[in-house]
Amino acid sequence: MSQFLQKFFLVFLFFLAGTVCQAQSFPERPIKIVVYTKPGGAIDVFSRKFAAIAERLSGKTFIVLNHPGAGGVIALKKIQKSRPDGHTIGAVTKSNIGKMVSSKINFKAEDFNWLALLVRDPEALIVKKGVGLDSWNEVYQKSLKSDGGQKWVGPAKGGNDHITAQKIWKETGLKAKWVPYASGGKAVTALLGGHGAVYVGNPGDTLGKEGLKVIAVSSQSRLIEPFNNIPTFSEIGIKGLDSEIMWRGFLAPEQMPQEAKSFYKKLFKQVSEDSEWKQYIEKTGASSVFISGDQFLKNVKQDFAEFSETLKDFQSKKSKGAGPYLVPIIWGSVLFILFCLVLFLETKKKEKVLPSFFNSTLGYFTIGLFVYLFAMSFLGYFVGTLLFLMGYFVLLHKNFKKGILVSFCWVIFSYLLFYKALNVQLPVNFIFEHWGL
Amino acid sequence: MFDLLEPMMLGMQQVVSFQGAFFLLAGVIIGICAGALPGLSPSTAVALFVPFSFTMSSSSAFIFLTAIYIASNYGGSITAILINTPGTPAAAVTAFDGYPLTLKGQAKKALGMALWASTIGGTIGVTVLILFAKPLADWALLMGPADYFALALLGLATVGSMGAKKPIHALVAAVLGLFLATVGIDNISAVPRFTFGIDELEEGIKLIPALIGLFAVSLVFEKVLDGDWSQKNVDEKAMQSGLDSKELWQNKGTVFRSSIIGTLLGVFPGAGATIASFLSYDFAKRSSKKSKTEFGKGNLEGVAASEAANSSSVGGALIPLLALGIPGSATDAVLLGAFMLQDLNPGPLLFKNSPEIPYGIFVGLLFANLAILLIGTYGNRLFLKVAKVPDMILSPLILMFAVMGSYTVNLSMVDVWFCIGFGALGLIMKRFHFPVAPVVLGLVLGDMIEDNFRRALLADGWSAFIQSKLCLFLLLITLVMVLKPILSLIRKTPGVKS
Repeated sequence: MSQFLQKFFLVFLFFLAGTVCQAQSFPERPIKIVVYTKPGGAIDVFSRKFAAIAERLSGKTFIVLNHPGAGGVIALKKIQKSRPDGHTIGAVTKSNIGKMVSSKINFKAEDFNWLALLVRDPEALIVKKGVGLDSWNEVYQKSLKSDGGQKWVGPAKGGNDHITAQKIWKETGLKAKWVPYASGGKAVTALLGGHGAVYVGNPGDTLGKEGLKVIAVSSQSRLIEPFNNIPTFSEIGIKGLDSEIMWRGFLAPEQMPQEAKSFYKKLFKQVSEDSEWKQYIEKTGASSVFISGDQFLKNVKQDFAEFSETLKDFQSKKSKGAGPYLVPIIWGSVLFILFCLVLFLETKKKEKVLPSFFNSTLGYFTIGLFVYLFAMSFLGYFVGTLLFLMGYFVLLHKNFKKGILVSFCWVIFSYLLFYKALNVQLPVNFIFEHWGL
Repeated sequence: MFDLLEPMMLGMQQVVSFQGAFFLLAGVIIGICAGALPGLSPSTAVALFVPFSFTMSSSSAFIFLTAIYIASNYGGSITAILINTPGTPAAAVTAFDGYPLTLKGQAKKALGMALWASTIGGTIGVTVLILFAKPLADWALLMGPADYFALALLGLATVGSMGAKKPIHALVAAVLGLFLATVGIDNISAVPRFTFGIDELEEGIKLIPALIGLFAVSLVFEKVLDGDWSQKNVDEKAMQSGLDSKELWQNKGTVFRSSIIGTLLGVFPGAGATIASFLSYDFAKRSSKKSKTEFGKGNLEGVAASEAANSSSVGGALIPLLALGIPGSATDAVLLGAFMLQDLNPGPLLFKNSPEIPYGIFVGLLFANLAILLIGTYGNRLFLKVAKVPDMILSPLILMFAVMGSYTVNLSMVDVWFCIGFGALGLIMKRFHFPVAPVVLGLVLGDMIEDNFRRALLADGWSAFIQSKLCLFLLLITLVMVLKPILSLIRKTPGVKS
């Protein structure tokens, strides 16, 4: 018997040694890449390309997870709160920095481990062909005639493109106004429809489309084909704006094991030099680079400073035209007047029966619902739903049989159809994650 | 016309292959299921499957994704009709008449009408896409901020036809929706409004959780409040009678007109399926030969108008994407990402460089409509069983659907809480005889009205609204639509001499 115990102990030791050895090699599990848009967004596409190439180069598994919302703040919070074991990284762009600055959560550059900046995308001035604005000179001359009425279109105020436009105006003395659209794509639509003179974006925005022309890009030297005919900002006389770029890269939580750091450093460098990756990046006029560690952090700190400057500028200035609170005030007062009118008409009626909209059953039901929703964060959707449905049938209908039947059927049905077949990312608990369900 | 033959054959080759046919059918089935699930709007449904398309061949990927797109627009009608829970925002209009039909025991008829109107409308939309993509796209580009503002106001004027006995109650609900739409970062000056420092609120109140809450969750709360769980009395005979060809023929005009409205509104980037459904419904009601009072109480014409419009808008919305490379709807924006993932850029150059993609999409969509018709005909028998499930089982399951659906929109519990909150709001509104649909209309149109109003002011000042002829024309129609019922009301009221 003691021999058996000895053998058992030896086997156990082997297992232990095995797991310890495994723990030293990074990564132990698939690496999660958190993306701040829905699937199909530009940064999502970028991350999936990266994941495919990184898998080929490293032989490890990468999973892209989408956590959209609040311009990236939700994803950043997710990354910050993730286990600092190096298995969670996040895609990040320059526009996230603007959000980090304006968010109520006091994000600092030091809160994250800035792994690598991989893409530098130059800013570009884009015009519509054939309307007499085919070069910077023509745009400038025309702006003098319209006396500040020239329309420049692009995404939201305070974003990267808007800041670039303001710098150009300051540098050249050109007078124009910024007409913001909900997205870069909508602004291109407006440009093509003749509702704007210049669109500020990136060279890749013209790919596949006809009738657009890039008149200048922010770059130290000419871009590669097919963008090699475009003059740089300094060539047309706009000085000091050669490093106005949109960048994309990856970050991780601040704390990270040393082996993870060296793994990523090697991996990102390899990817940035991969021919398939380079072709994918350079096709849009951007350049594939590898900036990591302190250099990247320095870069980010500069962006932090710049965005906070713009934010202050923004809050001090009042916008022209209708202010942000005009429309809510209009709707609010119309609502108030109409509501008073309804109240007045109702009181004129003779029979006054106040309809009931609450009773104790609904009260208990609501409490149950609240408990269910609060508990979902640790029970997961499936376990929580099972308990809620059973509680509903037992407490409200005193029907235990139906409770068991319906709740199990529903959970199995929703698991198979929605979680598995339709790929809906429902919250699940640790048991699910552990078994890999 | 004849130069279309060769590329269409090329597209046919993509679809009539084993891979193409498999992914087409898979896309249609997934689309119908996803559309029926509240919360999975067409754009979310397509987005969920973009990662899968990464590994497919380019032509199969787009046949698959566009099949999901068009099928989910149909799928939304199923739950709207059977349990008054619109699966997609556009299907909220389908519920106006679809659910009353179910209550009358005519669910099978309603489902049949939705199926036929969807597939006919979808086919008309795709045909317009194939034949007139370029000229329509160029025309849509001419729409400026002022024109979009006027179009949105026209959409708002449909509030009068939204089933309320008292128009003023519908108006209150619509303005409430417009007010709620102002929450979040505004698109013009990037100022966060009414967010109380909560980051999740910066994106504003999302349409899908609000829609599910107002329609579905309020229904569950109502049931619990009333405590009436007795078995429904369903007329078995009426349940068995489906849509006959005579009824379909009677509605041919409505289906055709709504399809045209849907396609045209689909073309404008920023209008879309939901507004198309609201406008078509209003148009059908105004021009109906039958008594107008039947609308909202279970009129097949209402179901036909809404479904034809939202399915035909798919073809329309693909026009700017394929002809110009500009997304015409939220789903288009997701498709644009899928194009990028395949190293392709949609736009005129795509037709030259890889014609098998756009023509594969064209032929695929035509076949997808056929597949929807086939699957829907058999599927309806299955779906009908939902109408027979007793309320005590159905009600909690609707709630579970709602929780899952609103969570899916952004993978966030905040949306689920909003959904429950809107459920409470919906209950109170219904008890005090306020219709809930205008709130949805207000939420849909709020941004469009405000952004374009302010954008037009910023760009051209007040003269913007007079300079454009289209804007003036649309404003004039809106004025007529608003004044007509008011004038007739004054004429009818005793004591007021006209």
